[in-house]
Amino acid sequence: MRTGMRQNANEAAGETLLRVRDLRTHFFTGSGVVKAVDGVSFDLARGGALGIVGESGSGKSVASNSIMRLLPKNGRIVDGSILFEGRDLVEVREKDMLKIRGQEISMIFQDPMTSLDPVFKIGDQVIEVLRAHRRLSNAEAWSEAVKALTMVGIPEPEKRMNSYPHEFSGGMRQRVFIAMAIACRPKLIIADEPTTALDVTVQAQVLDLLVDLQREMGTSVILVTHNLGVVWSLCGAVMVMYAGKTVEYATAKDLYRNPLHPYTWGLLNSMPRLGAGKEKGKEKPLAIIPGTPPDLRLTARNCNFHNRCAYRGDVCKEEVPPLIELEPGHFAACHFQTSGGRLTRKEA
Amino acid sequence: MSKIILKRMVQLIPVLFIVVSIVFAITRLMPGNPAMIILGPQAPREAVEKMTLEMGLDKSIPEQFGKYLLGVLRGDFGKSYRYNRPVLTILLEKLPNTIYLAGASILIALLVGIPVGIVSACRQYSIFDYASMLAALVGVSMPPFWLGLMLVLVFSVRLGWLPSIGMGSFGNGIGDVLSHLVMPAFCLSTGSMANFARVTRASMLDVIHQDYIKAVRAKGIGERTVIFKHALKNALPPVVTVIGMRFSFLMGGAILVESIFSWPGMGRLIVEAIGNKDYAVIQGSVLLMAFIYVLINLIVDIAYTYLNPKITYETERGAR
Amino acid sequence: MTWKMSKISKMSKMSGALTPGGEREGDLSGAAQQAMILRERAANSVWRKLCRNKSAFAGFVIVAVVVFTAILGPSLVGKDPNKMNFVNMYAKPGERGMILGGDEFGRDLFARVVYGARISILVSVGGMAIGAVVGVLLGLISGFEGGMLDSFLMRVMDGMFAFPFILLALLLLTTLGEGIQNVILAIGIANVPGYARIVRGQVLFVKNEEYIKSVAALGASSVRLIFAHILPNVFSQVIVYATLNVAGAILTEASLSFLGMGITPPTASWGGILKSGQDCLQTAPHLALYSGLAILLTVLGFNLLGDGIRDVLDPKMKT
Repeated sequence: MRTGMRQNANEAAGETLLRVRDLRTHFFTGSGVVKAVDGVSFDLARGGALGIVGESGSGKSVASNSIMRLLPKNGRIVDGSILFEGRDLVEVREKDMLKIRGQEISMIFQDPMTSLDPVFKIGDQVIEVLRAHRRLSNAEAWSEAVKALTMVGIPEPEKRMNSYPHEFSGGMRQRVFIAMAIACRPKLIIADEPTTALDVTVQAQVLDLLVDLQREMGTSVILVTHNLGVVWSLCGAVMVMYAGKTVEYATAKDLYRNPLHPYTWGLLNSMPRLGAGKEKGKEKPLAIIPGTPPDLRLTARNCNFHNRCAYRGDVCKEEVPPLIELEPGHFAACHFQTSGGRLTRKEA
Repeated sequence: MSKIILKRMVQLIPVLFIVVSIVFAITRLMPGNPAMIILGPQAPREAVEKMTLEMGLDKSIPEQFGKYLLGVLRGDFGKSYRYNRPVLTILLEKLPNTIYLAGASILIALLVGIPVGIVSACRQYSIFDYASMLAALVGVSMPPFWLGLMLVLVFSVRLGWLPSIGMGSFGNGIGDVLSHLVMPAFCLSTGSMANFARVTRASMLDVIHQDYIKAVRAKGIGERTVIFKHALKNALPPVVTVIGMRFSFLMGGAILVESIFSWPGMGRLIVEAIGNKDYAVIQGSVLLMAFIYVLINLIVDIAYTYLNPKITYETERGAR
Repeated sequence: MTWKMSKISKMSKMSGALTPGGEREGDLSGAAQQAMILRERAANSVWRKLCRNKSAFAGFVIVAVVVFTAILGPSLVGKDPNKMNFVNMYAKPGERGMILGGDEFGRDLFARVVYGARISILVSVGGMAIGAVVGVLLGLISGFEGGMLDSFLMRVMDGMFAFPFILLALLLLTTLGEGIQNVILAIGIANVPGYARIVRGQVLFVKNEEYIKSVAALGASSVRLIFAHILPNVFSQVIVYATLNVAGAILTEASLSFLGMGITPPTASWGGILKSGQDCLQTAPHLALYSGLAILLTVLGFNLLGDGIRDVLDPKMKT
């Protein structure tokens, strides 16, 4: 059992490293404006770990790419703020952004088979990020790179410096990529579904590696995933996204014990759990959330979840629910979950 | 690496054999008795018969082919009846001129085409992109001999700035050589230039949207390095392939361009030889062009392997 | 993916995984959503896409005009392209009622350019057709049968590829002798390797697809397999190649005629007019100018059309 990188979340001291408020990233296409991220807010404490969960297409990746300001040409951050150590990354000039990427914030991608440049030796790729941010001699850069490869558990790192990416397995490539990400000791690592493309057995190893590194270096981590199980064990706080919006944000503990948003309920019900549903000897089938997410060109007039929600009322079609703090540090965006009244969760 | 080169060279043998066969077959099928052509229509019968024997034309076709093949292997391409000199000597005299022209053209094409392709890809859908791609399409569609004539019309006939005939000589200074070179070389380069620009753009666009390019950006690497180091190196293999293919077009284009500018190279030699029915020269020059093409594609193959570490790895593993 | 125009589909590809919601069809805001989806479906047919693709449309218009000129033009011009009148020798464009002027024999240049279109289209389309039919057949057989036959055919094709295209056509033409049908034949034969290679490559690719394997497992005959299942799959690539090939064939025909080896006088051909234009570049540049422009425009038209068809049929295909 993994002992997670607990975050003392918002309740305890932990100075805030990253504060995202009402972030909106839209894509301007010929057939309309795709509101891929349309109201995302969360905090991340220094040294803490945050999980962003949601089904595919909910805008998790776009949100994390927005923090790095790595958006395609037709994508733009149209509103909101990303305060990183007090600086608003939305306002930072591209030139200064270059110094932040790779040094202050680095990123790990989903598919290690496509995220390493195939025509350069991995040693050169690790050295590249080191030399981009630090003044190092050739020998120093080399030894730093070897150090990084050692940290991520590449056997015979000196020798493997001269290997090309295609000479590594998927799991090893992801380790190489992580080495690149940690080489400059960043304050924040954004891991965008870092294990989705890997074999199940390798997944656990790579996650363990991330946990170890986070502890060793005191780095903050944002883990983007659609696997809630991983989040419970690794993250101190969780943000649930649906159709571009933050629908719920809380500490992992609170979310586990007392989820508040109907979408989170659906998400939890659709999660396979050992031992669950076996009461009275009956196998209970996994619940699904009926329907499909809305077209992101047509959102922003109502609650995005209303068409799939078992608890919907008329107001859900009329108004966008605001994200409100229902309990200390526990936020949700639902018309029927307010300080005035609460929903009762039906049995799935 | 040397294993790969050797393997590729062995693969070339059957192709070269087929090339020699095609050339031999085509020239044998050409109408007219070669002996008669050499001696002229008024030649006495006995002389023609004697010539036929001398040239071995009375032998069976396989015998003739065998003899020809052996000759080619020894570097003996026969003798030009027109110039009364060995074909090889004539070819070696003309070849450098064509290589010089083709080399200059490909240099111009690369220096213009690849940068235009890169900029177009980086600024996709910009005015520059649209304009250069339209220009490239016109370049691909332009008959090189027409462009040649128009250039001559403007720069030689109207403005009188550039000479329209010959190669010039170093004796008259470098300026003379360059002024003779500029029009034919530009004319011959347009198609390739346009081709390189289009392929570079397409290949760059393909690469720019790959994950690893985004990953390089995520490392905080500046745009210039992202494009010129990472994207370009990944985008080059298709471009290199096209460069090899273009040599074939260049040789073909040389036939036309050399005719227009009276450039004393292989192209003009072939056209003249066809007009004179000088079979030995036709065979020899066509063979040489085909050999050069095969050779250049061998070089391209090797360059390709060098650019793509994965291929080296796989072929080496396969060879083990 | 259901986007409106090819340009947009490129943009959406650009954003790739980053526009997750873009492809989803929800059942949310009923009417608006439905209307949008219907619009996109309608826009999806190949024909509609071709019309929306600006380059394809421009190419189509040019090609249509040239083909129309080739078929009907000569009867509309009402002038004999071969009628000599030495009074009109080298007449400037617009003089003596001749739109494009007169040539070295005082023949009407406009009439000759229009008749040249007929020759040009006939030769290039004919050459394309011969190359396509023979090349596709060879490619299918080669790719499907494999083994010795495949190796032999492909080495021959490689050998033919080693010659510059114009040189191969020139040699074949010298062997075959002059005359329009021989020009068509020469260009046609020279075209064969291109088709054979493309089709063979596609066949090898398609052959290993699961659905072909399953049809074969069901006991379909080779002939049926080739014509009913494999050929349709290589068709779109062949169409694109054929369109671009016509452009190339027009240039080849013009080159051959320009070298004095293709269409022989007095038959009007663009390359032939250019050739005579070369001799009188100083006195009558309009000969070379207009015949060359005719070639350029026609070739451009086929290239635009071919590029457009490629974009529409398969955006991933490369030059």
